[in-house]
Amino acid sequence: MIKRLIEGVGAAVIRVVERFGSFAEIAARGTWTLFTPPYRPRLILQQLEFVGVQSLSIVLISGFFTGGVFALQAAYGFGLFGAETLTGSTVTLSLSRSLGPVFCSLMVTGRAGSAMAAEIGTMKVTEQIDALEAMAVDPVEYLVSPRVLAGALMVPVLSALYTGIGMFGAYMVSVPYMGIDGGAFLDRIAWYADPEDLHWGLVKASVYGWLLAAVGCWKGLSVRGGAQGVGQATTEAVVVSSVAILVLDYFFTDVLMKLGLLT
Amino acid sequence: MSASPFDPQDAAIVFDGVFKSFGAHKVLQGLDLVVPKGKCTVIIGRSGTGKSVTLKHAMGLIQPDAGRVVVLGKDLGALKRDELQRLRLRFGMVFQNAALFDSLSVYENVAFPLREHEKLTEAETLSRVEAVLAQVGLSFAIQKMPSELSGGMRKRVGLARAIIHTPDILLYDEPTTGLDPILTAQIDELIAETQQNHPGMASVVVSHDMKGAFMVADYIYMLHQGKVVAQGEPEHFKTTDDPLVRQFVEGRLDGPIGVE
Repeated sequence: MIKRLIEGVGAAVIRVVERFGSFAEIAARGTWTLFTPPYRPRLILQQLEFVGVQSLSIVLISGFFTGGVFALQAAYGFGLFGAETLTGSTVTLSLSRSLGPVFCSLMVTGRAGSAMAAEIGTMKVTEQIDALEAMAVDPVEYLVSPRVLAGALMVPVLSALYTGIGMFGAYMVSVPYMGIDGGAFLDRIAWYADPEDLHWGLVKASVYGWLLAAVGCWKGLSVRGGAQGVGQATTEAVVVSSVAILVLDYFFTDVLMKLGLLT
Repeated sequence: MSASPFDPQDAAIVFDGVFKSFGAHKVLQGLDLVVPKGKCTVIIGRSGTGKSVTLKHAMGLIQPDAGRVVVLGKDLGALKRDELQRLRLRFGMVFQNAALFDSLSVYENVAFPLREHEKLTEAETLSRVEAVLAQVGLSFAIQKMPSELSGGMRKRVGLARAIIHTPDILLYDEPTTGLDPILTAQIDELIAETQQNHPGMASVVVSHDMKGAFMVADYIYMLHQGKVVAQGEPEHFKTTDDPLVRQFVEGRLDGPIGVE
């Protein structure tokens, strides 16, 4: 009984270490091969368009309403002690420091990270990955590198837009709809929010963009079986990326605050 | 079982006591096999006897648990990643379901190996692609997407892609599976023609279609339970009394090969 328990725990630990190892290998090689020839500008542009441009509408819509609902709740809370004008600065700080990068990354995970896992997974089960290798092309260099670069470059851009449109949403809800003074709303934002807040938010978004693409590609390349395996990999890509982004964001923020980079 | 008549020192591919398992499932169990240069070798056997796994070993896509795979004089187990990549340039492979890239047109699929490994102008690439598509009778399909092609056409495009860089070894993984008898005959004829047009090339065809095997093969190996159980020229397989071979060739249910 005890022996079986120990064996079970041991096997689980080995499985986790193996999976992390395979992820680390694909993520590291996918990043490293960006700096070695062959360079693939066409594939990179395709992925920039796929991750960035095609995610634009979903990011703008969700950003506007996130800012809006946040303003609705904050204005109500601050209104209890007559400080409604702080709504704008609160929404801005939250969006630029954490919520913008995190929510935006989660939206891109659902749209692009899942699609990467599904596309690469389908290529795996239809032997297209084997065909790449058979033609002496490294699948990690060909498929993963452009995607992790696109994630790292486009998610910060989307995150900045998410934060901007979120602030606009907050303004529209606070000022015309709830009647908060527009001048005071903007003045508080200028008073409390620093460029540093946005700067670190963008760095975080870049890391999350890299991460969600690396996880999507890793899950796609790890597919076994047929359609069921592709479905499972797609789901796992979204779950693993989302949880990893949320956990990482907590530690990232904590470390930045402890180092005095965020106050 | 007689030993292979080919000299392993001058062979295209040598399998030397290769074992491979996937979990508890033993696929190859001591495979010894020599693929000669300049001939068409056919590997036959029931589904699940390790034929496709054998091909993937030959390209280094799978590593054996034990034993050696030697390709053009090089032991694959001793090669570094970039050496293996360079060796793979000397292969062409026709996959079971063609494995064309869905997102690329027929032209881009066939041009893929050239664009990756040869510095050609677009005009040179186009003329090479047109020539090879003409060989497989698909000149008209150059701008089509793989989703617009029938199964037989996809396999012909897969063959065009495999031969465009004139490989030293051409591997076919069940090239006629899933095709009707007429398309099967067409693909078999294409395999035989391709071998004639490239006399120095070693072809390896994995198949369970005996009619096709007799049509294209210079030499046949039969796999059963992960190792070679019979080998010889096509004539040998037509006339031998070996009950294993007879049951397989004639497609009988009764015999030493168990039917689950």
